[in-house]
Amino acid sequence: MKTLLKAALLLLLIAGLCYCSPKIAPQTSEVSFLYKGEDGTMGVRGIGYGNNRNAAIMEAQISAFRVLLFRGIPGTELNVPMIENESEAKAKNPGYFSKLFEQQWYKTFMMSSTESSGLSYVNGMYKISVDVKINYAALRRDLEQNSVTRKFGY
Amino acid sequence: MKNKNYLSLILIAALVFFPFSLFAQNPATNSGGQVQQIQPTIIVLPFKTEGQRYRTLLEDPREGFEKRIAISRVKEAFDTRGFTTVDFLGELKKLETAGAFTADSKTNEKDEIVRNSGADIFVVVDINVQRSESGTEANIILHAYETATGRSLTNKDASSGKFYTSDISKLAGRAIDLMKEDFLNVLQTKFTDIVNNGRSIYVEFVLDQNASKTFESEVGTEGDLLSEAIVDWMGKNAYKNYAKKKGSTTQKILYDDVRIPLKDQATGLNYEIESFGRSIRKFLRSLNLNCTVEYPSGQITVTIK
Repeated sequence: MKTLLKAALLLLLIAGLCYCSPKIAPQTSEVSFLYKGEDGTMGVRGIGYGNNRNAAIMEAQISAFRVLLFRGIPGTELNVPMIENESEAKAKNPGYFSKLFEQQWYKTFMMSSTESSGLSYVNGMYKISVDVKINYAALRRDLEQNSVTRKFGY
Repeated sequence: MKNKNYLSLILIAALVFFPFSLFAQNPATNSGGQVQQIQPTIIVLPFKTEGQRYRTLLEDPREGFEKRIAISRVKEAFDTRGFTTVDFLGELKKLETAGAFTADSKTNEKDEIVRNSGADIFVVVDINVQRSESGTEANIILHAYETATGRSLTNKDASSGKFYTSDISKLAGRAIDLMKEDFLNVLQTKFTDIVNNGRSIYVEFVLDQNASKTFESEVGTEGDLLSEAIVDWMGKNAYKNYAKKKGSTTQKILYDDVRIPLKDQATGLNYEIESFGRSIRKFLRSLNLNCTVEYPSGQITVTIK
């Protein structure tokens, strides 16, 4: 009887831990190009997932930057990513990317951020779409000044 | 006797140390070991067909301004990336003043301008303005080429879209604006390839009319033919073993794509095309062959005597 009770409690504990464990937001490339400003800015729409509204919004913003930096958006002016080799750049400049994403330095290049969809709940995560206006020229200059990328040329 | 000894010592010291002073670093330009990478030179030219003259094109009352505006906008795109291009009009004027383009001259204007400017890369801008009842549209094609090898580096085209306007400047600017980021970004990836894999040069081995040997002559100590020795040496000494032979005849051996590094791999200093040319000359010297080495625009021409 005692053994059965112990087994049941253990099962309940495990089930509880699984149910309550925080979900890790998936990294996605759900980013689309909106427009190019005449002033060196770019408008992109990113989709983010998170455990709450704010986390989903931040993930959407970071997604937009991540795609701009490492992936590019095919069929648009941002076809070629700003950083050609992601793993090499991250290995050589871990401090820069930690500052950019974890310490939210990317926000200094974000001129505006507007929710373009309502918050929805998908597969246990909150999902939202955010239009971000990025100061592309300033971001590129920052990458060059921090030697993450080369200036135009050799 | 003592004076003689002192004089001998002074003479010996002078003989030992004076040569060093000839090759010593000039203190006025000493940067403490810092090396700045030599950048490519880029010139932006308008498109022209066979037989057309640049001056006539640029001063055409109807289309001249469109071409000048297009060139200006493309140069501006390079400027925004912090890169200065060679001024095409300045180069054209220099050559005109020097009498390079006379009425009966068969000189290829584009080749002369590019060669004279020393440009490593030239960008051709082709603009076509279409006017109709439904509006005016500017279509632009940009094409970047490597001077030394003629290789195409990148090309893009864009259209401004139709507008009811006569402001060609705005339409040209709009079209270039639509493609310039992608154009420059792709060009930058080609630069990265050059940084990683070396820049291309064209190398030509030519026999002088009175050359003592032919490419079929045996040279060296291992019984190799001169052509074989050249092929082996080029393969070993081109950067990352990249030496693409275009072809050979009894009088010439042509390499249309040989890679040399941007920096000397041993010293970290800028590696010039003349450094590679010097190595070729010394190699041929080791085979008891004299030669002259010339460097016409990113190429090496070795004439074996």
